[in-house]
Amino acid sequence: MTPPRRRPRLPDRVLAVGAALTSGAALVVALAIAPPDAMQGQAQRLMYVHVPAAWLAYACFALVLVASVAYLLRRDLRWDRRAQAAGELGVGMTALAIVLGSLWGRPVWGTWWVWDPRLVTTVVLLLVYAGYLSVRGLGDDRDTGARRAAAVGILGFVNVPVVHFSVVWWRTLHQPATVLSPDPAPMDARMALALLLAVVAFSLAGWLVLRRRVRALAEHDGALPPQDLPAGPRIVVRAGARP
Amino acid sequence: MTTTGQTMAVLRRELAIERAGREVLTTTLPLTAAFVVLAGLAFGPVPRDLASTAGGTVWLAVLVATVPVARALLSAELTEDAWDVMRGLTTPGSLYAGKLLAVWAALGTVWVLASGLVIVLFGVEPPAAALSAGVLGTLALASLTTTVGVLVASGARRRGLLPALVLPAGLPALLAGAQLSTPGVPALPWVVLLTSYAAVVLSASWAVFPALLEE
Amino acid sequence: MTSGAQVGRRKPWRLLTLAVVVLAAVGVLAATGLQGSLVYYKTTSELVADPGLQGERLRLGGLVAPSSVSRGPDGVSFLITDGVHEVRVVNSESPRGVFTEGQGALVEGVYGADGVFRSDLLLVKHGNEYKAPERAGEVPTVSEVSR
Repeated sequence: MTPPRRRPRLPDRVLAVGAALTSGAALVVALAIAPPDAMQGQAQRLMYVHVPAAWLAYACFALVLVASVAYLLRRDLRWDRRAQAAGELGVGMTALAIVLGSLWGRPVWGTWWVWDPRLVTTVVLLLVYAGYLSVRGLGDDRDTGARRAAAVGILGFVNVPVVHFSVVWWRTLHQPATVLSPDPAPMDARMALALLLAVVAFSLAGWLVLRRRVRALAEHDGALPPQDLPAGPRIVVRAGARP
Repeated sequence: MTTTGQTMAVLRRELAIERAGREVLTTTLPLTAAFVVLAGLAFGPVPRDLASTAGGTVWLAVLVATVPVARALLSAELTEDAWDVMRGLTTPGSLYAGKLLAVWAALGTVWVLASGLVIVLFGVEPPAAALSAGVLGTLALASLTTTVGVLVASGARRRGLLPALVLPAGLPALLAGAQLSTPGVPALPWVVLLTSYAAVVLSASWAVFPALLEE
Repeated sequence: MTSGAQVGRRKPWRLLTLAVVVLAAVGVLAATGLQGSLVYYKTTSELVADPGLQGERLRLGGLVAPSSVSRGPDGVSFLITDGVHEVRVVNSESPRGVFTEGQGALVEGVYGADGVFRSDLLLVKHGNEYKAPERAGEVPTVSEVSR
């Protein structure tokens, strides 16, 4: 039986309001106030979604690493739930960033794809963490699955720098590489503002999503039939308790 | 028995099983040979095209071979419940090291076969640096395969997950191996990369496998 | 068989060692990468200075010299420059993307003995700058540029 729905907790509401406000502001600035790029034209506005998505993805994967390490050290399932939620959001954001980057690249660079180190590494990240999400379900029980996922989370993450360097050198040592970098150096102030607002909006929304997902996972975990609980004093989990 | 002694015992056991069942021989080596021949057909027949794809073909063959190698060396025991017996008899470290050495030997054999076939069928002469790739690359891939293989094989489902996890993570070995097998490419940076990669993968495997081998 | 608690106590050392190894590896790779053998693309000066590069397939990067673009039966022809040397490029396809004079471009092809770089791949190398158009309304559209 699912716990009765309660009103959203205060931190969630603050996050939701903050995310909504900054998203609205970002939209206005990005679409109306910031000028189109002198060289790239209107297509450059995709940057305001692509860059925050990529940033959020990397932040999520860092979170997966931290939570995986914490789980292996503490064996507390809360860390595993956090790792899972972060992994899910990270994979989604990575896929979004790749698609948007491709859409941005076609009109500006002239191609859907280049074998650029950053792009290849991002695709590898997507593959590794998509695999990571599947590993948890391998386990016969919750803790085994969590252990395996934590192992993959760590193994996958430590490989990323090596993957990045290997693709950089693949481009440059064998053949000179393209240097196509969407990172801004000097940037028009209005564009920078739009980008900043977008990053904040994505971060707040992402944080909210993570909190809700972790709570949903905790409810799922906590919904074990009574006979699985150890004999002794019943442990009562209040709906709305911190996950 | 010391850890080294146990490791050697595990390795000897693997070799004995292979001698008896010829599992790796029959599942992996024909696949490797077929792979190289088909690659020759896919990328040829122009000799220049073949020559430029030679290094990549060898290492793609090695990467692909990790799947049947993992199945032969890691999954077999788990389905037959011999895994728990093994874990009871040895320390986790020596069990892992022994399996790692066996997988390394298997992948090394695959590399030798693939390289030989590519030299003959693609008509290329790889530079000496290819040998360092053969040693380091197979070691790194063996560590990756053993860790992921144990992880996947000890579960009840989703055995097919191994390639999805190993292949993307094996990318540095593929790139470095292919480059070191290509004439005219500076070798030192790639050897440094392979060494770093092997160090990172071995350390990561050493750090997480006790958790994987737990009850 | 080690118990969970024992493994938990040991684990920090293994993971710490792993962190050290990874950081060391990244440091080594970054340092190695900064050596001179890594070349992103050839500049026109490097191309002109090294006769051994003729006939080799390579990438050439630089700025498209203003007023140098013309279209002919062979494809698009323009001058690429790094501010010191210019090289004539003939690209077999018409350019895609926001290819404009005065901006960066990257071509891949062969430098012939006649001093012409014949390329079959032209990519726009936009700089790292993001700025507003000089005059309002003066925004390049894809259809205009790829005409």
